[in-house]
Amino acid sequence: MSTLVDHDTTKQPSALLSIRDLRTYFFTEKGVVKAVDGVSFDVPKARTVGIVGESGCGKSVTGLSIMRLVAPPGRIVQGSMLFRDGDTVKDLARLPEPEIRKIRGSQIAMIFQEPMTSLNPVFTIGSQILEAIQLHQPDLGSRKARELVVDLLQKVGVPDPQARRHWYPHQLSGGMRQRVMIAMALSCEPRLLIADEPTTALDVTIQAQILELLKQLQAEKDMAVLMITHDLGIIAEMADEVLVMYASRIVEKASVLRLFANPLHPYTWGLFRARPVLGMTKGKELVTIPGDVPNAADLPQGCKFCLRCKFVQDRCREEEPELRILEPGHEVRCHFAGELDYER
Amino acid sequence: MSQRDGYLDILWSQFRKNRAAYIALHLLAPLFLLAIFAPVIASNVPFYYNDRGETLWPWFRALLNPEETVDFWFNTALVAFFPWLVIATLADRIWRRQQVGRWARTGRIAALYVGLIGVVSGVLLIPGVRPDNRYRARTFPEEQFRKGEGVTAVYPPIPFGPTEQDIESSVKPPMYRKPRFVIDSAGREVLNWRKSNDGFPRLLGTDDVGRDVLVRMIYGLRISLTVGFVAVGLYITIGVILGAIAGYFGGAVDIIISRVIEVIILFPSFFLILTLVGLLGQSIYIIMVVIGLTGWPTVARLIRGEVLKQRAIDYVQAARAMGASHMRIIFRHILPNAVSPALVAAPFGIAGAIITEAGLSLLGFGVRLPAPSWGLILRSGSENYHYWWLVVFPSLAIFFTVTVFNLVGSGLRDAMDPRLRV
Repeated sequence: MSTLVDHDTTKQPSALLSIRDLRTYFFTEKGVVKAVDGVSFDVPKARTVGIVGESGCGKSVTGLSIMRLVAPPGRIVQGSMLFRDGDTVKDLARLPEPEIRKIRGSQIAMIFQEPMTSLNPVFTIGSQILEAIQLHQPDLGSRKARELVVDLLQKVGVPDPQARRHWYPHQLSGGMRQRVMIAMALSCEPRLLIADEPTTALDVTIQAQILELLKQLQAEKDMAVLMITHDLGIIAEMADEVLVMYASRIVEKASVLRLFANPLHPYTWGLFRARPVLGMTKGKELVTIPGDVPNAADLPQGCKFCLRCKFVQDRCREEEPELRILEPGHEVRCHFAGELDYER
Repeated sequence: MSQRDGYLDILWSQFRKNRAAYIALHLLAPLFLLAIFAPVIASNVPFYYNDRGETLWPWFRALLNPEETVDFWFNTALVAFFPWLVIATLADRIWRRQQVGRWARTGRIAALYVGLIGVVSGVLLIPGVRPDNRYRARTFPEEQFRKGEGVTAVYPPIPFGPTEQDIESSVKPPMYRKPRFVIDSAGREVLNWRKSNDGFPRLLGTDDVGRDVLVRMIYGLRISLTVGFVAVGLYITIGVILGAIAGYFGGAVDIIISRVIEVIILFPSFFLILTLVGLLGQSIYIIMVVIGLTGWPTVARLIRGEVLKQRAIDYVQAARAMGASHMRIIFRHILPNAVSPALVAAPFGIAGAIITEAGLSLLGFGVRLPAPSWGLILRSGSENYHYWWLVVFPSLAIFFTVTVFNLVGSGLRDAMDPRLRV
């Protein structure tokens, strides 16, 4: 079990982060909850990978697992997360805690959903960003660090940064707080930014601004983004590659254009169909996917979607499908994907 | 409450709305100044004594060589006071120009004083630095002053010492003044006064061996404040640290600490002190240490609850995502949000400690005579209530001091309660 794995770079694609067979289980008194069960994907350098799925599908836990922020009773039981740090490749799943702490915040950063509670209420936003800087760049010097704080605030679009760095979180609006969070995350120029539903708590106009800001910063800093969301609109806007998750597994993996043009998995197709579209006739019922996400302790044998799938057959109930490559760049976990006739 | 205010500004503006608490807070400084400047106000050694060219400065030697440890710390605070005033004023000007925040400046000025006290006491503890007190037993009788010209002395306003006995003037009522001349056994008229006691009246009377009550009350404030702050400081520190660790780490650590809390919280501190004093003899340290070691569980419980609440809030996970270590998260991120119940408990704890010490001294299990504790003054009056001045004045002192701390504590509690915010 080594922490540094030297891979032959000619054989490896130059992915920034390679996750293979990640399994994160929660060992509770009521049983084992398999929050992430065999997830594998790559995050290429400076691209955006979007993870989309309903609440409870495991997408947030995937993000937390990458940062090793999963708290007991949760544990990463299996899998490797190979992170390319400069020339070396490190397995994040096996790094000791002090090593991971060096990576957190400096190489991989994370922003969270609730800007209200993600900032410490008793410190000014300037001092919180300053702390992020000084934690990973201790030799920067206090004057340079303070200048960097003002710089960052300006970059994320906070007006009058010189004065506002003395403000407290409760004095800012939600959109501003999220910008401060982004500034904190970006302070050490990470290679990967994990964004866990960053705009869910914000209204639509602010959401658009934040997404625009993220795209701009990504281009400037040459940074990869892992965007975790339940909103297909955000996926369309931000992602290059998309992973659709359901019940702790990836059910479809494709580039964003391919996914939107041709969703192959019944669940993905159901998600697209369920969205209200401009021009729909009033009075018609909205299409939904019947049923609920199954209880994690009570998953069906066979395909996890079989209880809700419109095209379910006997084979689905008995045998769990594998993730198969149907077309180049498009993987689906379904026995009958490609054969199904989706009427639009 | 404007949108611009930080947390401490909000607290302060809420605190100010409570009239009684606001006044009480402003009475704390005079109380401390009274305790610090006690030897300037009342002492039986002169500041300056000049006998035909021979100049002595007995007061300064006595200041640096006190008999009690309590007096040592307060005297070094006195010595450090004026240098601190000067340095703090200058430093404040500089900090204002650097736009250091208001509360940060307050904290730095307080830290400056504590630091200076530490420096002065450290210097005085070096062997050989302190000038010895060769005037400890010396009195300055009036005859010396009557002898002739050239003999002058400058005394503090109340020229009596806290432990200075005068058996001839025992249990005298307030405003007693010794007769200037007295007939001795041979029938001659003899001077009865020392220059130090110069006909100055005993403003609040004397106790059973002639010690002045007012002076003992002023010096007694030193003992009360010391016991209060040291004991409470000790138990708040221990309680905050253990409570934070228990709340943050949970699991086995939490279980162990919680069980220890449950055991120690049952200890009755008062009776424990009685027992230990019975075994080991009277000592102010026993009081302070026992109150400190039996009082921390309550604080630890409060802090543990707050830390449990804070731990679930997102900023803790955000701090961990930033790469902060456990220690950093506990002490820099969570504790400032979690410590408010401890801050509210502190003034009440100080009030309780003052009462405990006075009660113990009253029973004879507190500080040792001739220390000037309020409880000891009460004790000397407990045998005979006709000596009312030995009962009324220390009681008033205890009542007043305890009320001041209780008001401050109650004001703090209301200021921190978000439901009472306007």
